[in-house]
Amino acid sequence: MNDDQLMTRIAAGEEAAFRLLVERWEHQVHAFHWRMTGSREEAEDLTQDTFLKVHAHAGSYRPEGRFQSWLFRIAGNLARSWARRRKIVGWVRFDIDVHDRAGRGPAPDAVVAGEQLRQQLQRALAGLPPRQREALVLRRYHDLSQRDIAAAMGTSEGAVESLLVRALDTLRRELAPEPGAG
Amino acid sequence: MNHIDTRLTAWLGGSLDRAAREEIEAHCATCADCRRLLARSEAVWSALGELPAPAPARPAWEGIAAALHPVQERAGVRDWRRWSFPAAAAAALVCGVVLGDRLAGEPTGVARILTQDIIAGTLLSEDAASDLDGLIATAWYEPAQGETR
Repeated sequence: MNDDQLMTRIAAGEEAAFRLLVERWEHQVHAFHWRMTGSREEAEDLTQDTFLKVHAHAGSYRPEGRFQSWLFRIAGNLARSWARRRKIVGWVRFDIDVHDRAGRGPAPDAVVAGEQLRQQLQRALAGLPPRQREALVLRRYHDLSQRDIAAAMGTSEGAVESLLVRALDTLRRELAPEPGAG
Repeated sequence: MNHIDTRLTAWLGGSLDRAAREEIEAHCATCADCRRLLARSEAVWSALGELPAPAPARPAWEGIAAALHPVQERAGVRDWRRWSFPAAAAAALVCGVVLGDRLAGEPTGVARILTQDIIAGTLLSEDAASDLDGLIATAWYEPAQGETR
């Protein structure tokens, strides 16, 4: 049974269909919220809130095969609302050890390896503006097309492209600086 | 200044068609800046793929089901309110009838029926609410057999 069929049944009040949908998507939604908030606990709460909204708005869902975009639109709205409630600029704090790079990144050919590098990458990801991070997370980890990301974020494909270019540029400067830079 | 920036994520995500990929490859073969940009971007993209997200500590359904159940509990409260008034009215009626019979002498059939039902515990059951309505009507409007009101 595909997601659209499940949503139709959920709208009709079938709790078993809702449970199946939750179990199908919970890991992806949790991973999304973890990457957006940096906190496992916050991710769990936001994951629950996401599915409760899915349940509450099942009747308004149009079964046109775009469930993933619709789901991540709800998840993204919740993540941004959470960020606004925090009212802080650096609102992501990953639960990782902090390593001070002192402005020196590894050479490009060494970027792909090592725990320290992964932590640096997490910090860099956390430092991105929320919308850049959201676009990047949806593209890299959830394999959404730019069209689907645009639908999920309520913006244009061009704006998504711009967000992704800026996010990638920041990550390159942080993690794979050009030789001689910094 | 580079020439492939706007197609980088499509390249990295593997969503470019063959012609577009070949165009970028051809450009990078002659443009050192774009070649370096592509290499650095691929390194970052690859590293991003190695960032594991932790699994949820517990199944999401547990919390979701708990959040959904209170709605059912509220419905239960409404049900309780629905039958609590007739139950209270019945209790008052029983008290009145029993008290009246006590004052008048031997218990009537009505009093016996009602007190037996209470003793049997049927009034404690939610399912008895509708039965109770009928019982009240019977007690009120129909004299027990062999008796006159």
